[in-house]
Amino acid sequence: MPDRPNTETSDRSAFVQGHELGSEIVPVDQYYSDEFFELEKGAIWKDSWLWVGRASDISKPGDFFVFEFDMLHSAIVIVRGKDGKVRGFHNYCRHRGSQVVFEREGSKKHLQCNFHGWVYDLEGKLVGVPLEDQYANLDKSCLGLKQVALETWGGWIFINYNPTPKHSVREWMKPLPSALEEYFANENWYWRAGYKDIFKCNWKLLVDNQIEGYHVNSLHQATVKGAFLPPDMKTLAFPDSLGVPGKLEWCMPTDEAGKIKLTEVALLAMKYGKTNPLYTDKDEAGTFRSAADKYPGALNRTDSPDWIFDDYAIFPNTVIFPQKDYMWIQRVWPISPHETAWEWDWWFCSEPPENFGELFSWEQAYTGLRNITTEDVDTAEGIQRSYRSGEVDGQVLSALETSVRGYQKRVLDSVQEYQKRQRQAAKPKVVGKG
Amino acid sequence: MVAETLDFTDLEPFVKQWGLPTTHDRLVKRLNSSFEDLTAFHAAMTPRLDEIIQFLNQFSLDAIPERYQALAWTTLAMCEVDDAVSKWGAPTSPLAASPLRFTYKKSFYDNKPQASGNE
Repeated sequence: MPDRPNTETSDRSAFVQGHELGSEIVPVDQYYSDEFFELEKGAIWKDSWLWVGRASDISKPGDFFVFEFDMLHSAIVIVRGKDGKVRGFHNYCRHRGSQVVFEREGSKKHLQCNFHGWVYDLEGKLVGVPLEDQYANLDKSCLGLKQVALETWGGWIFINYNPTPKHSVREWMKPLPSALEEYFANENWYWRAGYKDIFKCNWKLLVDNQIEGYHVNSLHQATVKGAFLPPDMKTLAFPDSLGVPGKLEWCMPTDEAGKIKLTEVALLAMKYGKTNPLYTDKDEAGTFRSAADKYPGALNRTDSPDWIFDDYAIFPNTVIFPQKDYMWIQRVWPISPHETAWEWDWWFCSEPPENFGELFSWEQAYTGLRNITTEDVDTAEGIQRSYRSGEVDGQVLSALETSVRGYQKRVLDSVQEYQKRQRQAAKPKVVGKG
Repeated sequence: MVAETLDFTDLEPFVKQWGLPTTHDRLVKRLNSSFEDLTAFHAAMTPRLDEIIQFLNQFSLDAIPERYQALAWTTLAMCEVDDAVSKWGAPTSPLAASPLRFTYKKSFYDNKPQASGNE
């Protein structure tokens, strides 16, 4: 068991709102400094739980997928063992470092390096070395595949490049409701669609943009203006949380004035299916019916009748939007201070469309969200250009951006804490007298 | 009661143009259309939309009769053109990146490449 400090003393579920985290201008060199980017590697990327997959996607022994993270030159094979346990291994052979898996995903009886044919079992143990008698003293028991820390939460798989993580994923995920964990764990979640792209901006800008709603009526004026009312949407930060720095609770406007006028296409999408986020999923008696209803408290913390979906920043690089019967996940992977790989995925726990109306509903939501997303990402590249000019004094954040302030604070605290540890490690040891 | 057949002779010219099988095909068609063409398509389809969806709903998705398949794709194309006609007044959004830059993922684990080779 890793030596973990007692972390139960702080209330990682406590949130702040408004200006409780302060109101000072936030510096922006963290978005373009090469030095800061290098520090992030140790402070954040090698010491955080990273959202990489779903355990049910590798349900049988030998099922695997590969997680690659080019910035760290890393490839991890995530595979289910014969014992039913999911493990993550660095994708290289202990002989001379060649890959043991070349495919992105699939199923294997064992893992074998194609260079000289060393064979590992599904638990990572070295079990076969061709011409083993040619070695002087080969101790196979010391030459298993190198493992990374791996844990699951709600059926999702997380890895950590720190071999002895200071905290469990469960601790990392506070304050997410346990009912949300159950909603994830107990329902049959499956991936339906996704996009990817490379953006010329810092990775953190793509998180910032997705966790505040202040921008919707301006940036999204050509798509969803009037669908949400920013002052009515709760914007939270969790200053003591390890992995959930901020949250936004998306709501429809309570006031009819200025409310979005839904088009005939949107109304029909809501009539025949339930993929449109604005769909309230009420039956004739006015009660909700969706998979999420089996897990009271999983969504819609305040039980607001105007609630549409939740939106959590999951530190460091993920944003999840859990809602009724489905969820969007955005993940970003830095390439350089100014370039980022971006992924946007749709996961569902309801059945795939069975009739044309449901397909129409899906198509309307899919294309509609794509149009909104192209507005978000366009902005991030422009912001990066501004920051790199060196002329931007900082970000001036409102109470509607407390989630962003909470996220940035988590980033800055991690790097400062890392620098402190580095300085302490570099200090010459004082030799006692006598 | 849902009719056994649906007469869509009036929509045939649009079905010939918009009966494209994938979301991507329909996106490209939208980007290459004039706003006038999009408006004419949207105006012709809108009053028939509910009736068409109801009609197609009687079949399971993998058993839509051949003669209605292109109509089904044309109906889905209404999702593609709706923002352009109802909100932007142009075939593309004036305030957004091109959706063509997004690459479709094949699975959740399809996250390569992670570098464009230029900064």
